[in-house]
Amino acid sequence: MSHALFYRERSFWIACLGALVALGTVFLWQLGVLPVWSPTRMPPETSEYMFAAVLLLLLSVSAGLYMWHREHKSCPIGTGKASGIAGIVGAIALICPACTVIPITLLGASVSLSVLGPFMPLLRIVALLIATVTLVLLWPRKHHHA
Amino acid sequence: MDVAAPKRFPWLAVALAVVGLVIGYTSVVLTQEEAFAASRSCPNTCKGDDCKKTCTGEDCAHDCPGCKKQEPTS
Repeated sequence: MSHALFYRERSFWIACLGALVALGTVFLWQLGVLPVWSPTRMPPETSEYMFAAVLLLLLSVSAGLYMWHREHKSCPIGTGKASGIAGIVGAIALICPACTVIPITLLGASVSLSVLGPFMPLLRIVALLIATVTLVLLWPRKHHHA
Repeated sequence: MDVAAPKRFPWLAVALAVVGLVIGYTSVVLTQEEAFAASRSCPNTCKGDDCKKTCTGEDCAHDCPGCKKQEPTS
């Protein structure tokens, strides 16, 4: 199996595009772009759009490669879990800390995310770090063993 | 044919990197009051359609005292 052929396989594109649409919808909703109800938030900054786009790209390609590896029974251990963690941390990092409506509604508790406010840039770096390492690990090598 | 050992996600290396980032970032942000205040997003104390999206920083902490009225979009 040549390392360069993953993008010619259907399993890669189905997972990649599926993740792109699903995660893209969530991120756009978080950023208040979708014309549906979304949490009250300040207008997103350019950096937030860029972060969302980069993370979306990393996670989508990782999802495609993950399925491709699974089909060839060569999936690196722990990459699925790592992708999930990167996605969750990234989603948290995109939530407006002012939007206490969500935790209050869902958890029934007056938990405020405002304490996370100063740490949003850190969370974004962590999410990108995990997603990047995952993608590097999933990227097929020349000597891929099927 | 040699079969390579399955690759594993480097949890330890990533965890160490994250700890380093947390320590570095926290030591920088939390020791600079201005940076800390500037990085705080608007708490959910700004009510009403007129002002809820325009409060930033410390203005937000007390019911939008410095809130600008948003122009309606057409």
